[in-house]
Amino acid sequence: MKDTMNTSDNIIRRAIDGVAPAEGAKERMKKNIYEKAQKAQKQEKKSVSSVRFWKIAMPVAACLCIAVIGAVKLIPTMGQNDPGKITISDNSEDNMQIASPFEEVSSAKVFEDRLGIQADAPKGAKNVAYNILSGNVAQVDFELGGHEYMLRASKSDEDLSGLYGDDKGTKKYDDAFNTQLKTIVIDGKDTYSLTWQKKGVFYTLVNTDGSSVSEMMSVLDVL
Amino acid sequence: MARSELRADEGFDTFYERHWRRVYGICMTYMKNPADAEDCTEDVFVKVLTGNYEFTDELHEIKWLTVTAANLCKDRLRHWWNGKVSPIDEAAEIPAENSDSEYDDVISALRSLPEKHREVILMYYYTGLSTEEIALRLRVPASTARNRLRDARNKLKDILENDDL
Repeated sequence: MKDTMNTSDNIIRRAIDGVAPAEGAKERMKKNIYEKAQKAQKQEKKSVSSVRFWKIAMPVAACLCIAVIGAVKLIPTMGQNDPGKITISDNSEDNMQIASPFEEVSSAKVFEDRLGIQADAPKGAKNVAYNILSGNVAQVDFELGGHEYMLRASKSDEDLSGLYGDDKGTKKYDDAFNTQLKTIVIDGKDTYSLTWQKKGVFYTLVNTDGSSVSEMMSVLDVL
Repeated sequence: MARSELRADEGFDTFYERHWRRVYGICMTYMKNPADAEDCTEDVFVKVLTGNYEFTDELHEIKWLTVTAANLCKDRLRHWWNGKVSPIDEAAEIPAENSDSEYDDVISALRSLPEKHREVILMYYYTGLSTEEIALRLRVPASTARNRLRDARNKLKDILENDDL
């Protein structure tokens, strides 16, 4: 069994499928499922009936207009996959309802040649990957000191961090490069993004797996 | 391909019969005890029962169930309540019971992986998603998905080959 990784797919599947539930779990869960579903449906009916008619009449009318317009636009595309439904196809080629915004490139030189942007991982970084995001953002993913980092660079000053959470504040470190550390709370944890500017390019360094402020600053020092 | 029938109760019962153990197993790789795993399993099937999903075949069902179960478990683990679990509750952790003890260490190894590694292992080896599909779901570049998968395999290999386990 010690050479598991040679047939790891089978062993992982067998292990998961072989987990033994407690006695009576099957019937107990089934009963709970029906009860929960019934409760959920009652709750849904309750919340709908409590809304006054005149409060929904206008939005309904607006939705009908949108639906008509949408139907007119969608009619030519009927028969194709509906992006609103879960359609996980076996065929990865026809599963791509949304094209990936990432274009993998070979090196940091491509950023310079195509985008006029200098961005690269620090020396000693592992698992370095270069991508161009949405055609105009350079992205370098790398691992350093046991943490995964993402460096993005763009000539636009939009927020490149891709982080969404409660803003806990921004601290400015210098004026020369307008270096700032932003703290965002995501799932109860402080997550950091460092931003700075250099030669007309806006940079963002992000870590989401628990890097400390000092670790982030250390990475910035070697970039 | 036969379309799964979920509208009639008989259809759901059959669907549940086919997949309950699989979903439970996936939830057990995330949750620390059978009670939480059962709770998450129930929530997955409630989604099926109350939703309007159409599956093209059994493989489609498995993929959907795997991803949904993983997401539900992750949400549950991140819930504020889990941040307030007292030490006494940690004692309620019960090791996975496996009908074949040969796989106990595999389940334990999966549980010990960081979440980002566990999810790619499940997506790739259990659900059969390609690295491109995994990258789309996780909203990361394909290269990142490949790196995570490689690191996850190496970590799993290290754990399983550790004689102390």
